Amino acid sequence: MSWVVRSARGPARWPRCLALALLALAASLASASAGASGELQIHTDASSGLTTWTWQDRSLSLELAQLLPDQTRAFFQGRGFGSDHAELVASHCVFQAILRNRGQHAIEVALPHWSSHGPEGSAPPRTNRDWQAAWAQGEVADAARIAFRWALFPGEHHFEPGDWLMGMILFDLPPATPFELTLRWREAGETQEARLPDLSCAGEPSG
Amino acid sequence: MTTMYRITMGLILVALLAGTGAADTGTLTGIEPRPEAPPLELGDLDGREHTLGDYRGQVVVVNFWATWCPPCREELPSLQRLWDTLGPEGLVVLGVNVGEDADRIFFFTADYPVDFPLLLDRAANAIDTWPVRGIPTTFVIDPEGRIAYRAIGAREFDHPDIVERLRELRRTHSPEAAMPE
Repeated sequence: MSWVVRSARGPARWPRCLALALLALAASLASASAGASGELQIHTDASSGLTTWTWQDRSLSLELAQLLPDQTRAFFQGRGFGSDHAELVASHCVFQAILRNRGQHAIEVALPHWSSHGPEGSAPPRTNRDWQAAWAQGEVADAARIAFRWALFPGEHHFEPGDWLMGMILFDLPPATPFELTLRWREAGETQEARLPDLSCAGEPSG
Repeated sequence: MTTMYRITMGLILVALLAGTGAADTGTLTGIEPRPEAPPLELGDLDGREHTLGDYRGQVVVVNFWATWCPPCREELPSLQRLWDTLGPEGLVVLGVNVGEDADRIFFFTADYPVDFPLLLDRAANAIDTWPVRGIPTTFVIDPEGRIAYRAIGAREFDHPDIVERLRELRRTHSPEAAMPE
């Protein structure tokens, strides 16, 4: 998985991998409209079956890449979480997110203002603050709690033009759940909104 | 996990990074007015203590990172190239690792060799005193100890635009620049 990819293969092999990845990406991109001014692209990797949604408009781009429960377990166990706590995280809907300010103005993003709309209703993503109390109660090691905090996409952030961050976003949905996501951000004093339909959490692999 | 599975996941990561335009990263955000940089007092991998005050009079690049963070790994070689280019001119690069131990970082540097100091912020106390909410975040400190620039997310730190800005920052604060005509 991306968060736990080791570097043992070395930088020298990256150009070939990059070319392969770009070819795969270019060959299988599909587009659909989402919102008044944005565009949503959907890419499903033929080998892994994992899907990445990329939404962008003139000011912001957001990539949401499915993470398998196995990948989430492996990442957090590798950072010092016990199997029970890693399982708790992996029982949620986890994405690797990349958000980028691609416009000319600063933008403010607050995950508590986002909403996932699933079969059980609407809820914002679960941010680091929501989890830390549980980790303190569960006597999770400091190093693991620190890694968790910084691995998650920050709950609130200010992005100047060109700024971008990668981090995990966790939704209070079980694996394999379909949902719709409403994004909200502030730009030049105004709240912007976009709806991303037909998203889906990764499920446990079958077979 | 099988080798093929790991390779596949690696390709996904590469595609993600390529899709974000990670290479188009020659931008730094100028901070005005420049605030005093928070203190930074940490040991490096060799046990040597560093404080930001040690480098007063020099331009310092402070980069917060972790080994498990893909964009941090992505930009690390460019920080090394920046160090190679501007280190001889007096620039300082400090990589502040967040929350990991020396052994893990030591093994990591076998694959990502860097010469500049890697400081250990094991308990994440230092990062909490800086205006950082996500990593990687990088600050450029001017010779007077103030935050002059910030970059959130990976950059190509040896991008000509960045190198020029850092050189300019040093020039405008050099003793010669401060002398009256």
